[in-house]
Amino acid sequence: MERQIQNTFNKIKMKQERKQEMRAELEGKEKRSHMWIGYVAGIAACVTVLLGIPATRSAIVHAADYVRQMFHTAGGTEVVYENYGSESRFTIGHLDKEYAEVEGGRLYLVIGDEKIDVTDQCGEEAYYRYEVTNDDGGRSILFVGGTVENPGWIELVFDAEGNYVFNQMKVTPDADGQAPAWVNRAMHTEGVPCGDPALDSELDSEVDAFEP
Amino acid sequence: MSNEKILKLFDAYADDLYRFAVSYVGSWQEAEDIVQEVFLKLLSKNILLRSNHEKAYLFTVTANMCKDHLRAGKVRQSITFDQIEDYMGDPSGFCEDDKVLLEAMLELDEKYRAPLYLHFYAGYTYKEVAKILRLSESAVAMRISRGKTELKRRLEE
Repeated sequence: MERQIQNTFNKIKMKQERKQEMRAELEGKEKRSHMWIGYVAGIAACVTVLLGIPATRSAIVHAADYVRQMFHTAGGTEVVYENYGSESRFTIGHLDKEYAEVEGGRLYLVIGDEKIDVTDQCGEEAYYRYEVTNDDGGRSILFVGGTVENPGWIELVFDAEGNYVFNQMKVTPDADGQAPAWVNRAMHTEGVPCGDPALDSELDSEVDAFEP
Repeated sequence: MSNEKILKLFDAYADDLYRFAVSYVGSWQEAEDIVQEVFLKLLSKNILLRSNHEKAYLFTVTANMCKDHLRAGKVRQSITFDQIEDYMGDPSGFCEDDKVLLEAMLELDEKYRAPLYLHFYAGYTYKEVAKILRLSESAVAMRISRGKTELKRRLEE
C-alpha cells in the first residue's frame, strides 16, 4: 500500500502556471527579512557569535528613499541601520565586551560595573535573564546560560517602541551544530524565532491568533 | 533567509507541500492558497533554518495552516477524482489504481489523512510526524494504524 500511495501522490503536482505565478509573486516581494552577520574577534573558532537582524526593521523604511537609524547594545556598541530602498545594511561599531564570564568556578553575568553570580540559575537548559534600558531608549534583554564548562550569552535588542531589532550571541554549538537547549528556550520565551521548527511554528500560531 | 534561498525552497518543496496540503484539506484551491501563504510567511519572518530542518519546518507550518483553514471552515468542498483530472489537465498519467486509491484516501477522515501521507509518502517516522502535527507519538501510531486499516477496507470494497 505504501508503494501505491507513493506512486499515486507522485503524480499530483501543482499546475505549472499557478506555480509560476506564485514564484513570480515571491520574487517580486520586497525582502522584509534580515541578514545575518557572523563576526568573530578573539573568540575560539568553535564558538559562534552572530548578529541577527529580523524582519521587523522593514517597519521603519516605508516610502523613504534612505533611512538611517542608530541603536545601542547594552554594552554601548553603536549599531547603525541604513536602508537604501532595495538594500539595507547594518554597521557595527565594535565588538561588545562579553556578557558572561567564568571566574573561580562560578558563572557571572557582567554588565557595566555589575557582576552577578548566576551559576545556580544556569544549566544546560536554564538561563539567567537580565533587562536593561539602552542609551537610545530601547532595551536589551540579556541571557546568560549553560554551564561553567560551556557558558554562553545572548542579547536581544528592542527599540524604544518595543519592536525587536536584532540579536547578538555567543554560544558553543554541540557536535551536531545545534544550539544548546537554553538558547532556544530563552529566545522563544521572548517571542523571537530561534530556528527550532517546532518552537518557531508556535510563534507563528500565536501571531496568527491575533490577526483579524 | 535571503529571497534567493526562499525561492530555492519553493522550487524544491512546493509540490511536496502542495500534495501534503491536498491530502490534509482535500481541496486543490485551498492547497494552492496554503502553499502560497507558507512561503509568503517565510518571506516575512526572520527565520534562520538549519539546512536539515528546512523541510520539516515547512511541513510543520503547512500543517498548522491546513489546521487553521479547516478550523475556520475555509475549505468549502472536498475534491473528487474528476476534479483532479480537470485540474491536472493531463489525466493520462493516472491509472485506475490511482483513481481508486486517491478517492479512498480523500474519503478518509482528515485526522487520518495527514499522518498517513507524512508517514507513507513523505517517509517521516512516527516521532517526526508527531512533531509536525503536534500530536503525541502514540496518537500518531494509532491514527496511522486505524487510517491504514480504514484505507485497506475502502480499497477492498
